[in-house]
Amino acid sequence: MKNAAFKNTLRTIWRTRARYFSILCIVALGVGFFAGIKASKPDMIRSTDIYSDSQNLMHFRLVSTWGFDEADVEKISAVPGASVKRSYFYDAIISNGSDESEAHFISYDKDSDINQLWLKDGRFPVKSTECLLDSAASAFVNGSRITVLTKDPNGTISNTDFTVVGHAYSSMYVSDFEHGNTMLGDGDIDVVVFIPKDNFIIDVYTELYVVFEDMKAENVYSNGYLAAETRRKAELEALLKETGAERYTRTVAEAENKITEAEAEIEDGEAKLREAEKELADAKSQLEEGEKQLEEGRALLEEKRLELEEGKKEYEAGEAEYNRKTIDAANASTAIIEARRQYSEGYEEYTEAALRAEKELSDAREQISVAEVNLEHGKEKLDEARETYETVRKLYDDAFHVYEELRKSYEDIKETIGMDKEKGLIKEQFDKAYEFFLSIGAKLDESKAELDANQAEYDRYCAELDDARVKYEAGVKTSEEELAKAEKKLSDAKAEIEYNEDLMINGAALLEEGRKKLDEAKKQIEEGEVQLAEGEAELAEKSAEFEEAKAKYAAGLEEYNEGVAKIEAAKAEVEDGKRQISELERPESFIYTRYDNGGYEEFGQNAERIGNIAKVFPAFFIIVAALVSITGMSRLVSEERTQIGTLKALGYSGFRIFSKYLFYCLSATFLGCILGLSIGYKLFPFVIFKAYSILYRIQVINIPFQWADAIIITSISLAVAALTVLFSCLKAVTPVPAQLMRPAAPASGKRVLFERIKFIWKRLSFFSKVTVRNAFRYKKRMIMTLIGIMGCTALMLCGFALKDSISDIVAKQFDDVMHFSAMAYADGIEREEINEIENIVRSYDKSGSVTAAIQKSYSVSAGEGKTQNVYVVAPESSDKADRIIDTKSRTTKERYTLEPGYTLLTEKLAKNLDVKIGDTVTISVSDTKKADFKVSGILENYIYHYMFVSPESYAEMSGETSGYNMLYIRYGIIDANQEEQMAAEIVNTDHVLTMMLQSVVRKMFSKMMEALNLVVLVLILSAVLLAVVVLYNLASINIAERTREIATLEVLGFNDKEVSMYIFRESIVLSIIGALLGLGLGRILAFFVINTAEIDMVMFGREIHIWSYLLAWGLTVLFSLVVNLFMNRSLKKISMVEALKSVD
Amino acid sequence: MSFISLNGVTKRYRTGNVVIEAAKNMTFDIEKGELAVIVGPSGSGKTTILNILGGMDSSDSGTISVDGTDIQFFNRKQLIEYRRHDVGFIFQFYNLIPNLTARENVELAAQITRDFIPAEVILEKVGLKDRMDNFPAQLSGGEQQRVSIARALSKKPKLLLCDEPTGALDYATGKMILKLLQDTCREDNMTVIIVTHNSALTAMADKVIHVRSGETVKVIKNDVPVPVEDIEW
Repeated sequence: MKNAAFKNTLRTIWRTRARYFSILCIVALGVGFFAGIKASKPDMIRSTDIYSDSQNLMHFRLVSTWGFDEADVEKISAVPGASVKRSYFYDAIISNGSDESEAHFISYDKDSDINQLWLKDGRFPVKSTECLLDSAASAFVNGSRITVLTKDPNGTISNTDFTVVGHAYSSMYVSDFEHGNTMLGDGDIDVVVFIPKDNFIIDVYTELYVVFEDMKAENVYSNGYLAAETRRKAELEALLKETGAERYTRTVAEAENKITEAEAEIEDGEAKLREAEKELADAKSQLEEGEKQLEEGRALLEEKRLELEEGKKEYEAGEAEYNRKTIDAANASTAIIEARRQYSEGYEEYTEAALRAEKELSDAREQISVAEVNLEHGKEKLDEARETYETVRKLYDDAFHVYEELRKSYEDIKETIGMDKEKGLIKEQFDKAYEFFLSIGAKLDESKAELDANQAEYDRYCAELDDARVKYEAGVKTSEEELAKAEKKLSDAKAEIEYNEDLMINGAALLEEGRKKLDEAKKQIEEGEVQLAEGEAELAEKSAEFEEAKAKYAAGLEEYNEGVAKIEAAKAEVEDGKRQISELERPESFIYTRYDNGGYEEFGQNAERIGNIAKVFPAFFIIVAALVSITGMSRLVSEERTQIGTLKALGYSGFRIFSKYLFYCLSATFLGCILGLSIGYKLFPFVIFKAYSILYRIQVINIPFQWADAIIITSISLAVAALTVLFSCLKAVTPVPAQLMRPAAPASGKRVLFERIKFIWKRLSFFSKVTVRNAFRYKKRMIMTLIGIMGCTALMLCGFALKDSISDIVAKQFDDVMHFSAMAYADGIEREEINEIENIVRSYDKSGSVTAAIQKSYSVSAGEGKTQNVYVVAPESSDKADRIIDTKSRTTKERYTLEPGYTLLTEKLAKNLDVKIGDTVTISVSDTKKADFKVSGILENYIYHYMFVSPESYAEMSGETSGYNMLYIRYGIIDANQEEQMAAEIVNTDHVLTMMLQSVVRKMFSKMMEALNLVVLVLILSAVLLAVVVLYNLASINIAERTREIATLEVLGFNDKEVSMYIFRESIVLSIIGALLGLGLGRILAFFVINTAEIDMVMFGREIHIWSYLLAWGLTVLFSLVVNLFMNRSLKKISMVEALKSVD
Repeated sequence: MSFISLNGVTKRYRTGNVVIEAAKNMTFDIEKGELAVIVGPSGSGKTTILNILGGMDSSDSGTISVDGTDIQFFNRKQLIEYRRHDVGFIFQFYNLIPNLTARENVELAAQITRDFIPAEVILEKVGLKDRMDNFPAQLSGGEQQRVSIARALSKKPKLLLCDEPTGALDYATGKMILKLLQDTCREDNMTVIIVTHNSALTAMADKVIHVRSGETVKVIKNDVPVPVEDIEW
């Protein structure tokens, strides 16, 4: 029996599988979404807990103005359950070669298990010059080098150059963007650097990390944890106070001891110095004496040297003389030999000459005698000739005379005669005679000349003879004289030779003597030289000794002076020490908890936000799921009305019949729960976690199946399902069988309110009227359809709105809110240098400008407990604030100006601090100094918090009067290459440390925001799924309920299109209306979600684009159409025969 | 050629492995203006014939001709047209659209035909002049059936098919409806086919077609039909 009933149930399920499945799906969707979103918060918190515990994240960080020593560590370690990590930190500006950043150095200690690092890439440092960076510093690639630029006067770290070997996630930094504050640069720590412990060379630990076992056992963010934290913190505070006091006393005592010791030492030193002074004086007089002696020795040596030089010179002269003389002697001897040879030659010559002269003389005499004879002879001849001639001559002269007479006669007659012939003849005769006379006369003259010549020759001969005679006479005389002379010469020469020979012999003896003397002198000179050299060597030695002594003295003197200075210094030190002791401040300790750590609390808050969303969001799904189940079940029960009646008639109890539907619904719900929970528990927390991992880096994602919750959710779902069934069956199961066997009275037609508006109603087409009336006929279904569709549209709009608000931030922030194109970090830059930079900017864009500001990160609070980390910005002049940010309100569009004593806050900051215009906010300038500002305006801003104050107020607040650290650079659109070039130029100027282009920052943010799209996608997909299930369910019920009506229409000859339109026009109208209503609901939901999902640092956009409305609406209607189109198929399946059946 | 002529119409239904012959070689003729009654017990195949004649189903073999048109080879579209313009259907359970008033129910049919009688006219004719704006739920069974008849007639069909028109009505009301049908047949020369298991109705018919187990048992021409008022059952 039971078997048959069970089979019947299964068959019912199979027959109505689409409905069964739709119930299953809607339950799965509702439960999955609810459970998933709900689990996200605990999953986030649990993951953080597991992550912190696995990394053994510190519970407390202790910092002291004095640092900590071993004694402190021991004291704290002695607390039961406590373990302590000794650590150092050091803040410095570092450079990677191009950019400068504020870095926080932390010692890396591989032996300690507290605050472990989770390696992201690379490896842990081994050498002391290697470093590991916090994962956020991915811009510093492995293998690159960083250099510490900040001066380290206290000698905190030993190296200033490090090689990056890896990146790690540090559990101390939960947020990628917050690494705490520093006194350096812009106040924000950019990079956390882990360097091996041995780099730190200071003798106290700068920080201690403490982990307590009992706190580890508690879950983070839990009340238990907070209670334990408060208790332990108080304990640590007491302990630190105690150790601090001890340390102070001990230090003062030690210092005083040291001073006493030092004073004794100083006295000692002074005594020693006095002694040294005396010694030095002695040494000085000795030195002076030595110098004198040395001088004397030097003079003596100089004298000796001079003497020696002279001797040497003399010797050299002697030697030269000797050599000359030796040569002379040799020459003389040669001369003598020559002379002798000449002499003998001369002698021979003389003899020869004597003989020759004698012979010559005799020859001459002979010649003279011959000549005398010849002459005698010649005289005779001559005389004879003369006589002849004289005779002839006389004849001739006579003859001639005759002729002359004749001639004269002739001449006389010649005139008388006048006969020419005879005259010629005579004349010729005469001429002939004349010629004859002439020739004789010539011959006579010739003879006379010959005679004269001979006479002359004779005379000459006579003269010659006379000469020869004289010559002879002279020759005899000369010859005699010459011979006598030669003889004399010879004898003279001989005498000279002899004399010279004597002389030579004497000279050789003299030379010998000179040689001997010279040799002696040479020996003396050599001896003198040796002595001199010895003397010099001695002198050199002595002088070296002297120099040494002098140097020693100088060193001694210097040492002495140093000693004096040291004593002076020591005295000053002692004085200083004494003063320090009197001025010494007691050690002050600070205890930081995990909550003081950047991002840690924020993450908890974010988990809380997700928790808030979990409270509202899934309600939709639950409501829709319940509605879908109810309609589904009611339909099923009414469909089986007859069967129920039959069963009742057969004697089945109401409960038995009821249990069938109970099983139907519960099994669908149960399966839906299993499906929904198993997907929901994994999917939603995972997606949410992934979205948050853009901002936080919890490395553990722990998303277990939450059994307890799952059981509770399933139980509640089943209970609701059971109630649904009860509600649906109550009407069907209670009546008597007979009543049930009869068809239920069909829902009656009614005029709707709408018909009363006649003028519209009349204008409606027949089918429109039918549609309107049909819609209102099934009110329950209409409302459900509307709710379902509204829900879908609302969810979708919420998704789109979330996307809008997120993606809008970037465009709004960078295009509208921020009024600058780049930021440059500078170190104390002044207006003159800023003008220089402005010129650079203007060379790229004429309208460019540079606005300087002081921008620092401060902790700002308002009222009780609300504290935010804020960038406080003081522009160079109050009216330049709007060159940095759009100084207007988002809501009222009012523009604000900056005034001293007042501040302009960004919107999200105002919201977080819960302040309005006119309220007061407080900046913590230091632990002891606070500054109050009245809020005069709230500015539109989306990313980070800013607080603008006037430069006067800032100067008053901080005590700093000049030196801007931030430049806001504004220029038009220039292309990327030029922009880069300009940036490089600006960075190259002095004072500018780094530069950040808004275009780059913008890209980074866009990327970050894109990741959140994942959440949006899930939301939209869920909405679509919900839409499909609801619409399908409703459409299928609509068709099932009206099968008969549809069949009738078919019989009446309606074609397919007409039938579809008759049925679906209603769904479509409801979809359109429902979707419109859904937009309103979606808007409310979206703002709620945006408000709760927002992160502290960021304000999401508050505008939903018209496109999102259109899209949400259009998509819903589209899905409705698609579902209806799909349902058209089952419409066609309806047989007209249904129309003939009886009503059931 | 008769107005309606069925010749050897056979129809088989297959349910699982079982093949049921719902109609076997059915053959009969109905003349124009005749009131024919197809009578037989449950499962005799009378509803099958009604379906086939009404264009809601097609035969497997045999010929069906209506006003000279063979409808057995009509495709789906032609069948819709046939139902739309040529056939008026009256259901046992009236099959009124509950959400529409009497007038609107009539209009629903008229809306889709080319030539129709205005709802007010036809409703007046069936005696519902005063109840035109009432919803079906506000009408009695007989009234509802009259609306149904009005709806069928409003589109000026060639034949009126009635499936147990009195099945859900009490005796008196049933009689009134039958009277209306007979009057329509007589006055408007309308061909009316009534399918019923009640053999008492055969008296009022011009032609009675007896069916059993899917076969035409006999076709009797009744030359003297009895007025409805005189029929008792």
